[in-house]
Amino acid sequence: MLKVENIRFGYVPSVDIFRDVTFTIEGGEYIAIGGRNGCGKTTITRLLVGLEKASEGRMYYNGTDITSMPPSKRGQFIGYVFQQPDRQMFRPTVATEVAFGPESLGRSKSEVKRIVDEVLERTGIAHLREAYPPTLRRGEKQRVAIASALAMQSKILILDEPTSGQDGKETKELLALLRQLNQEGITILLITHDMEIMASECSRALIMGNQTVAFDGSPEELFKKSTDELQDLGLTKPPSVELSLAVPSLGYCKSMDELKSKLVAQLSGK
Amino acid sequence: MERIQDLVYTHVQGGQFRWVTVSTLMLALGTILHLVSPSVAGVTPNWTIATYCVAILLTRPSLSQTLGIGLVAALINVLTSKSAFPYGNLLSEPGGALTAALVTRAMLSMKFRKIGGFDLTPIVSGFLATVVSGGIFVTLLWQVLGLPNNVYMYGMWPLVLIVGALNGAITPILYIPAQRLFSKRGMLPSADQLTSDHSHMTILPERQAKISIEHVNYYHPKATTPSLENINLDVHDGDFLVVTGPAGCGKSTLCMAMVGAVPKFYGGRLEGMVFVDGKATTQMEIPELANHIGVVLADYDTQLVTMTVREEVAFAMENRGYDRETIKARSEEVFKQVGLVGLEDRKITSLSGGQRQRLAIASVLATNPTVLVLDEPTSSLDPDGTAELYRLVGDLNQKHGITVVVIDHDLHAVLPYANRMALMVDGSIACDADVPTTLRYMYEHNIHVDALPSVFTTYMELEQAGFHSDEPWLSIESAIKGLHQIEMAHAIQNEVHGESKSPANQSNTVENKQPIQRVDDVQGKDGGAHA
Amino acid sequence: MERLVPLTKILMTLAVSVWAILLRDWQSLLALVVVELVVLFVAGLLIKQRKAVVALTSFAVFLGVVQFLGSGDVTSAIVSGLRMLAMTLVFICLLATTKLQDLTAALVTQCKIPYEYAFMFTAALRFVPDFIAESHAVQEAQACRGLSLEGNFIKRIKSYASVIQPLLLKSLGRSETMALSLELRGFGGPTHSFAASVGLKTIDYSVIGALIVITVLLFLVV
Repeated sequence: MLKVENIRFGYVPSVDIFRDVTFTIEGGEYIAIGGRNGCGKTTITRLLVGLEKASEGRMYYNGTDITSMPPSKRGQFIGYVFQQPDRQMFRPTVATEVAFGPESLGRSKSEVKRIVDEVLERTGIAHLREAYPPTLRRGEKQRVAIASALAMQSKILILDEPTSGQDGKETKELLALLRQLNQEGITILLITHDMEIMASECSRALIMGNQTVAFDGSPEELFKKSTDELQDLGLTKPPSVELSLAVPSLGYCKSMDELKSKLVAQLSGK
Repeated sequence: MERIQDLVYTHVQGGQFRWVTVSTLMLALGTILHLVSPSVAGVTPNWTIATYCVAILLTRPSLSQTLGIGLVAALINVLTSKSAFPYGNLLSEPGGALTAALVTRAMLSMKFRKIGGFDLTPIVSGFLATVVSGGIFVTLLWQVLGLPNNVYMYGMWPLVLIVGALNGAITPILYIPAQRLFSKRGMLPSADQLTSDHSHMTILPERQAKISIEHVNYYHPKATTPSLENINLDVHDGDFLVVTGPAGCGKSTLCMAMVGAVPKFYGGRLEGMVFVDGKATTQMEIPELANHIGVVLADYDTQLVTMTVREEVAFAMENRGYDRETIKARSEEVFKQVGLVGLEDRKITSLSGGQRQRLAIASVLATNPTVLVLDEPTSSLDPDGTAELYRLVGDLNQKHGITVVVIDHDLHAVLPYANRMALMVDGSIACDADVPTTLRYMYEHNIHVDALPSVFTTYMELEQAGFHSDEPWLSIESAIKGLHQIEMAHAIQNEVHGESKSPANQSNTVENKQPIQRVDDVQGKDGGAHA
Repeated sequence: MERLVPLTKILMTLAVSVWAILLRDWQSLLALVVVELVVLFVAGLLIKQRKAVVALTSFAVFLGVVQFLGSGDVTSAIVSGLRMLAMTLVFICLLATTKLQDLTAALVTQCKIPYEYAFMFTAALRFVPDFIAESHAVQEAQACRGLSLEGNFIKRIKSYASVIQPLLLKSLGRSETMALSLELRGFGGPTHSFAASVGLKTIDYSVIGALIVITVLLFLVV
């Protein structure tokens, strides 16, 4: 669906952040983008939405070349949720904030209203319609940002570190929302440093490192690598994987919940 | 001597430097608005004048402060190379600022100030300040450069009036939302609150501690329900205390009470007393208290106010009049402590989030406080940055003997360093004990459980299912140990019972396991401690 | 230039401005401008500061044109332009060779400007890049949500207005944190010291002496 071919990029012409970046994203995937700080995780997503321009390479969406398409056009199929959600909000109420996208696309008033109602409902913030965004809690702001991206009716949603700064409850609820959106058919790209999330939530991990794509495969394959190999990429094993190694008979566990239930089952002899 | 339960202290809201910070930030805003301003046939509003008009309208500084604000505006214009004629600005901006202040004062007492409920003050002051400022500027230009009179009269003055009109239009656009925000937060100048005076009293703490919070209730200005309720909490020398709790439980307010900002900055009413090193906080000014306790605010970015890393660390020392050699020596020391050596001459805006956080800590440590308070230090750091930050803070606690109080909702990374944890719920302390006890309390009472590290939650869930470990799982290492123990116990049990396990008794194997673990021991150690 | 303390450079700036007013013929003004450009070049600043130099030059040309249109006299137009340029170029020398920290210390200890104002001035400059980043962030968010930057004038004004308000409210929110931070860090206390050392040295005294001599000479000669 979204195809990236031989992308090369550097903020300064002589210094590449990465090169030879090639991957394809299919509809409905749930992809974690990881790697150590400064490896270009955020940059690669900024390239996808057109906020940066690649010095080489091409990008295609459903076969159409979008390499030189401006972000305002790409917004119709890729939604972007920035790392600090409050930096991307600029309107006095949640409803008008969310309406900004469809309004810019020139939708009619009634259509805008329908879209806003629908996405506020989907993201569970219909009760906050008239609230002033900066006064919301962090988790709510994150939802407003997601609703704003969904209002563009895009098929792909990119989120940059959405769980940083959120407390445990907010993180859990956010992950549940993303899971639900993914089940509704939205492709999700999640930039994250959190190994637990990468292992338990995502179906695929795309790790940037050594100035290119250093790993592209399932989280299970990734976390079965040795600790040293992972460390080279700026990653660690999530606790569930680490602990499942202590009890080899359990096999790979993608989350603590899975570890616990396998363990209990085994100990109870089931 | 006073009974601590009977003490009441009220304070007006807002510190003494609001006019400084509002003007500073407004002028910074004016500078960037100018850079990106759209123009009508080359004429743009003068954003600098508009922004200082707003600052003056909001904070009503004295006339000499107003002149200073004008001077600052001029210096900023000169330094950002916006000024083609620097001397002109140095006179015209103070003139404009003074006009804005005088108009604001004059209009306060006028009848026709409002038309249909709409306040005309921002329009009038925006227009007149711009005309006066522009007038001074072009007159100087005309005189110094000997420009022809017709250019001055028919070229320059009309331009001044047009820009004045534009500013008359944009000043209310900036002022009205700002004014709304100020009145919503109770930040507009008002005289209906009182400040108590405790200086004549003898107030002694009931308990000896580094910080002792005794019988404290606290009400925010105009609030009828307390934000802090019957708080009794001590922080001892060398402690690493974590205060946690759900959003809005009052943990940040508690932290602000330790440094005197509650109620001396936030205003409101304090009952009971907070003591720092045995002295009542109501008998000390905030800067004096800050000599004992260093605070890194949640929005640490805004705490940084200078251009370079070196200046930031020198800032608090300069304010206290340290001499040059001491500043130099102390700076080098704290740069080493927080690991910023080599970055001294970097601009603050070029630092990463984690580095800025370290710098905020360094600048607080510079004046040698014995306690370091961090309010939600990790809320904008990634997991790596969080781990690194707590490594640093743990180090300061263990190697440098600094007492640490951390307010955080993310517990995972701080656990290895903390020796105590307090849980707050709805303004009260629900549990104050060692780390495993408080974590267990949270789990068992279903309070803020999502903040528990997943490893600890698994430990509790396994325990509930009947599988015990000797030590609570606070880290991967202790969890692995615990897992091996459980496995071992399981193996022993299998041996004792032989391989006689039949499908029939599988359903009650969970109960079967219980005698093998030392249940009473585990619960005796961790259980009742918080009661 | 870098070896001089800020006060000397401030005095130099003032002296050059006085000279520019005293000198009345275009030849000597041109000489003054050339000297300043040479100083900038030697200090390695001409290239770095070329944008500012170009901006000042165009303003000087603009003034010259205005003067010509008003008076019809070419010589007086050139004199006005050059005078303007001579007075403003020296500011670049001052600002580009002085650290802000030193300038603040000089303003407070030697020019007797109250510390609050010197502080406001540097702090405002500290926040400018942060605010620029904030406004970029809003613009990027708008772009990602379908706002194309190539629009008509009204559209641009509207987008501008929607950037201003959140910036304004955010900066006011920050002002409270900053005010608290200032109190916590002993701002406005009775004793204030400076880490920067800005006392006059021998070389400064000789430069100041030379400035006085030249100024007096010019007064007598012109």
